[in-house]
Amino acid sequence: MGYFSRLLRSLRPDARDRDHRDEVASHIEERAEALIQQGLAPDAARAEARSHFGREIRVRERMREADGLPWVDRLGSDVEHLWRSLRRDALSTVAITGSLAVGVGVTVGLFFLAHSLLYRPLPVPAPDELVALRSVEGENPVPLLAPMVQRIRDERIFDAVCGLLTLSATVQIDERMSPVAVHPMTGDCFAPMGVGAAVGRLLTDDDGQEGRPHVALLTWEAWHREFAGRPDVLQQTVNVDGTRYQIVGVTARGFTGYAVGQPAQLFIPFGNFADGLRAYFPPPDLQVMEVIARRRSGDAFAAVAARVVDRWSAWLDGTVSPRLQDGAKRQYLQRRVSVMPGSTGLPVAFRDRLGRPAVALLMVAVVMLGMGCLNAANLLLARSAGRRREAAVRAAMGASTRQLVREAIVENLPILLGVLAGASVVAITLVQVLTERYQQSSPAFGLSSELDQPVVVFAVSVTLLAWVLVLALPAWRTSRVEVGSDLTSPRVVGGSQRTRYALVAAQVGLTVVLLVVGTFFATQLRSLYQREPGFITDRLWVAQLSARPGGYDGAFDSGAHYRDLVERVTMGGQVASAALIRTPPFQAQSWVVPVGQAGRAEDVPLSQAFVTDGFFETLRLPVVAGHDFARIDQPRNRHVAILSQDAARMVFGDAPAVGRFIRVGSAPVNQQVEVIGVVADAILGLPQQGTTPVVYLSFWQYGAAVQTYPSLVVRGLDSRPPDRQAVHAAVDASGREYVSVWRAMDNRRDAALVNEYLLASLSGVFGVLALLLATLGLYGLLRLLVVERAAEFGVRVALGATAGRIARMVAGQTVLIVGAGAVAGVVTAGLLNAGLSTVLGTPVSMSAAHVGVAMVLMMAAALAASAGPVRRASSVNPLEQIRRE
Amino acid sequence: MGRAPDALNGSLDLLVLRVLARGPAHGYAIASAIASASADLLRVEEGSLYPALRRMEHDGLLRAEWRVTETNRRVREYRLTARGRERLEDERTRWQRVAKGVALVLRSV
Repeated sequence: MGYFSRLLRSLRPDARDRDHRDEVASHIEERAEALIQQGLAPDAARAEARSHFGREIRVRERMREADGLPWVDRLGSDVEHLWRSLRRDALSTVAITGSLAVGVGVTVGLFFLAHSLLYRPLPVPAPDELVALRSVEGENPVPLLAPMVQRIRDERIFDAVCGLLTLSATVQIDERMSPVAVHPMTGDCFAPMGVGAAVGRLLTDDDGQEGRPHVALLTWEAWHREFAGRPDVLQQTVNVDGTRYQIVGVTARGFTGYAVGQPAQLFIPFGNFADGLRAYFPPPDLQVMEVIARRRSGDAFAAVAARVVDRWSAWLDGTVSPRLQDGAKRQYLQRRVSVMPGSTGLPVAFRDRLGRPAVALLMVAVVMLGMGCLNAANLLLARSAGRRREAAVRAAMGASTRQLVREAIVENLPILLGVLAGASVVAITLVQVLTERYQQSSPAFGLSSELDQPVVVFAVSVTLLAWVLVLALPAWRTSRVEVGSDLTSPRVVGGSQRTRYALVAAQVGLTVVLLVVGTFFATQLRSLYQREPGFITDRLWVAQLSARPGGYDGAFDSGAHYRDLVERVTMGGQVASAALIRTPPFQAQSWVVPVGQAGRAEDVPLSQAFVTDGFFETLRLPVVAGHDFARIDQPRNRHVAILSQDAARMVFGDAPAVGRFIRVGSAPVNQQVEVIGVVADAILGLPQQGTTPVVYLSFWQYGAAVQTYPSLVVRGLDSRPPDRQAVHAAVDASGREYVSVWRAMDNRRDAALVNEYLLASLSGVFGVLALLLATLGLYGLLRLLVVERAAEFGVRVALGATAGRIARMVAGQTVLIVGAGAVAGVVTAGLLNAGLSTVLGTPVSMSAAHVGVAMVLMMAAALAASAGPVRRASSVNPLEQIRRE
Repeated sequence: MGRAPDALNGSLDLLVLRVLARGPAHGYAIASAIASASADLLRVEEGSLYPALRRMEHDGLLRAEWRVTETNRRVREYRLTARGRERLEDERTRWQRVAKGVALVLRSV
């Protein structure tokens, strides 16, 4: 009861204090009344009563302690103090919190990405025993041939050897169909590698023997996503491209295969394929595989690598395919072996492509976080300098150091909490946005969202750093309050001024560098977007077609099938036009072939595209000479081609091309190909590469090898996009294919530019953020300068200096700092061109225009930062300052 | 003679309870009653009295209410609760035993 009544009193502090005041007042009056009755004059009686009572404030403080709960009272006063200080310094609180939150969040987010892609050990026991094996042909790493896996196993150098490959197959689960990354495996990929099973059993090498039942292994994530973690998963089957696979197990949670960044969903044995699936692969002795092995515990890496190198030529000799011709055989036998630590998974190129920019950006982010911390420190120092007098007054009135320190901590608590909350939001959002962006260009991309020890340690360390800065620094300064000197002088002692100037100048320099880099990437992205593709992308959509399970079986007549399909799509009047292409625009066109005039030796490399009639009309790509392909083109007829203008010029010079003959590649049917038309140039491949010379071949004249898995390019009617339902229905009607991806052409371009987009947006964000931080840093420094030199300014004004002169002094300091920083920044940016090109793997050439934009932004920021301090300095009151002195 | 030590360590509650056993009183009246009843030997510091009153009130020994006196002055008047009466008896017994014990020791040594 006592506790609750005390709590109630603490919760109504105003009523309680009034009560105390009234009771004390009534006591004094009663006593004064008694003294008056004893004969004292009223005034003297009151004075005597008051003096007899003693220190009224102290008595009321003790009453308050007895009449409530001290901790609630302290909390209340802390909150009140907090609210007061927040209102007084809202702007700088928001600035400090924001800059630290973004700095910490971006750093942790990028660390998570870089770590997950490049450094996170695989979730298997003793991952450092894993070794990745590849061969090297010339300078290019090449996976090993499948027979090599058994060969290496036989040598018993390793405890386990696993061969893996990735294919995108149509997988049907219940009624749903989707292209899924399926990993055929051979050797010891699971139990001997230390991978556990969550449900059922794992796959073994025996499962791949001819005649064995078709079995599949799911990853834990796929089990939960596709089967909602159902316990009866072992009774389920999945249909992989027409073959039904019985699920026999689920891997342990967290294991997503050995290719980091491309999480596996389904493993099947490599070897006993049904006919439909076998068609995917070259003959087994030419099939390449990524190989990862586990060395025996106790064997040193170097010793194992030496044994592999020692045995390498014997392995090559034993695995060379009799199908290889002499030249190719010689090349194969000259391959060298590459033995790499495999603790972080297979060395797939994909990881480097995404991981390296993440590391580069992480380094930038760490620098930025450092800038943020410096700024926070500067702002907090300026703030505590301004408050030292207040603290000194409170100390003189009896507040203990402990109380002052507590208040300083409380005052900065919202900053810490804000940083923690803001940083979490920033980090999670950043990772999500980057992951989604990458998934747009590489649908197989995925990262484990689990936080492992290094990520947690990194996040905690970075946050602690922020904590030390935000909480410890002001608390420490407050604990050093000296009543005497701090009340008589507002000057802040300690900290070399020159160092602080240099730090802020360095911030300005870094900001200029980041702005130059950001401007460069932004203009680069803009120019890529402004580059005309040569055709009209508006209302243009692409449907990528995949086979239904068994869709491309022996009875599949691809020519007839695709003629029907184009008919069905265009007939209903739901679309303006439609056509097929083997590889749709804004995607790497890997088919470059030598093309020359028929009967002549010289040739030029041209991109090769297989398109149907109506393709140029659908794209609105003008046919400048001759005519389009015809739907009646047949494989047995003379083969025909259409050249892009560039290609025609390269092959025939200024002479007309239509009606003449060319040879395309080495296939016998393509040695006398008639040029029937010339079309305008267009960007058919990646937007970064610009227009390329293209030889278009008639889709109808090539068999299933070229025609399967095509893309349907569709243009909508009027101002509407094409009717998705109608296109899907037309494709579904054959029962052989389905639309696996449906995407606007513009969207495909965005996806192709994902790296440029990320570099531009992130470096842009970093640039703006750095600008903000440098502005804050400059502001903090100038504000501190004005506080420190207020007395001097006062004296100067008293001696006749005008406000304008004082303002010019502060502005002069600004120009000095910004000028020095900017010069250093421009020089660094100049030196960075080569370095950035190497780190990012893309040519970087920053010009004077980029520097100009950066400088203008920096100048504007400097102006904004110095306005307040300049005004404050010029309005110093000399009398007040001199009195303080 | 200077002031006596603050109500003889720990006996303040007993004195207050005893004064209030005679009837309700406000803080000044309690302090005056103790001083006069002890022939000015015991004088209660206000800095101790008022916190003690608040504490005893929270412990349920006293009840307080604001009242207007005959001289038209607002005072906070305290009165004993049943629990306060029980406590008074306990404290009185305890004090008497302590006093007797102390007296015996003083006589014997």
